[in-house]
Amino acid sequence: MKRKSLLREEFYKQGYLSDTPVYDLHGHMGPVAGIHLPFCEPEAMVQRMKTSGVRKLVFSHHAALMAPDIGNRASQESVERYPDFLRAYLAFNPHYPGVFHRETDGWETGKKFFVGLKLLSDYHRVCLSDERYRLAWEFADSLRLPVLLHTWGGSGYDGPEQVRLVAGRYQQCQILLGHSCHGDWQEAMALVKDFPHVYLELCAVLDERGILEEMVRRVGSERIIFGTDFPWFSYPYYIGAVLDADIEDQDRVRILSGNALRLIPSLKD
Amino acid sequence: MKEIKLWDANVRVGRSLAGARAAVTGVDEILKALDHYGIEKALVWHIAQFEYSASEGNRLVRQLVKNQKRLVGCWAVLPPTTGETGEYFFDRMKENNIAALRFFPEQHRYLLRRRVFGEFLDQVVARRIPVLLSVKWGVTWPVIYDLLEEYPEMTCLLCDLGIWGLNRYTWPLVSSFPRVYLESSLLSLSDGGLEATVKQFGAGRVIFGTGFPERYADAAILDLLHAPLTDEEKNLIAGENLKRLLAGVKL
Repeated sequence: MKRKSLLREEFYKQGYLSDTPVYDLHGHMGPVAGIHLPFCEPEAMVQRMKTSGVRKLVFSHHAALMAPDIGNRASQESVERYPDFLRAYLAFNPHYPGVFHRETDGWETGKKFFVGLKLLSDYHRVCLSDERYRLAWEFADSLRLPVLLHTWGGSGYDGPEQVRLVAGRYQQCQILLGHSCHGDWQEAMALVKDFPHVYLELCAVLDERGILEEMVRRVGSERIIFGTDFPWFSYPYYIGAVLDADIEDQDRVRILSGNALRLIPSLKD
Repeated sequence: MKEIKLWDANVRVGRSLAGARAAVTGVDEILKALDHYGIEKALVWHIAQFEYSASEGNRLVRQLVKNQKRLVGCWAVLPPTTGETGEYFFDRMKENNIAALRFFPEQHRYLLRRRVFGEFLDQVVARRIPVLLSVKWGVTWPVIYDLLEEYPEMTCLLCDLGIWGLNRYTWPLVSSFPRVYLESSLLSLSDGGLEATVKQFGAGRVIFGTGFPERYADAAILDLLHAPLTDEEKNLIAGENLKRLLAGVKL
């Protein structure tokens, strides 16, 4: 029979956790081509974060990832409006290095809004280890920034083999495996065991029961980051999945809250 | 909010041939899980219906739900022309506590359309037997659209909906066909999925499901429990809609 969880009982009762503010390190914003997102604008998103006890979301606006003509300013504007709830990743598109040069020239200002980088290789169709990414990797490495990757099992662009190459090359930054190399869970866990600066991330992982338990058992809850693709996935659903997993409450606190603060202490501000 | 009574429309039993992290097998195990999640009743199917044989899987479901008050069975159907569905099908459903049907056209290699199922599906429609079609288990959107064009009065529960294109695929169906319902396990995964659908069509068109044991049941329960809906709307989704559908089945 499952272990009793006080956090689960609390969330059932009130829909948020009083003493465990949630930090979501994998979010987005704005419309996206393949999905109708009913609540994807910053006002609605922040309201929904408050309701579910999410203290801060680190996101990359869909425009920053998918519309180079708009780019990262869409993310920055939202952080400016909601600094108590939002921080952003600076999205890097390897096809447009000039944009990145311009955006990082003013990093002293930029770092108020951006806490790391986001790389979306599968969509940009460039391998993580490709020379065109060197600029971004060296930037993140020199500043010891977190880099959130989209990773997917079987992908030649950002599958485990590609992650292994860049994790070996760039060891000062923190590499967050968005989606934990989805489907290739064993390889994702092997990467975390082999590289102390690599972390698993739960977005698109929690709609299959049992994987989180295996991750906690094999790599420890200290190496697992909570992420949701919000506003794609619902907070009650995703927090609910962590609460339903057969793990200890102390693991849940690390995953939902503590690990994010350890990686990015400024999120507490 | 007052306690809600949960009836789960989407529980799978049995061990998959490919192995799985999560499986429930015997009746005791299922009932224990339902107790843990506070689920009063569940509509169950067996993975062997999909992976091995519809008829043998149906037999396993029959054994499982026989004389069970908290479990109702779902049978898998094959084209009538091969005789694999057997005689007195609806009578046997009634005798064996079976109240809904599932179709796996891709896995079982048939076309889900009038040319194949003809009068059999007319009977299913007339008897108001819920037909569960799962996007995850191989029923594609064009198949669903074409089937409902041919049987517009079919009582149809669309399951395991996924997030890609969710509302764009499902809303035209809910809007056009009066007896199409959406199962909530992955509708709940989508942020605001429940409330946006309820706002558009009312709470009468969504039916609670967990996708257990493949998915975390708490996830779907908590999304419903804390959705910005009225108690009445939550109760309809949680159990009343399914209860009403099952009560309307004529066997």
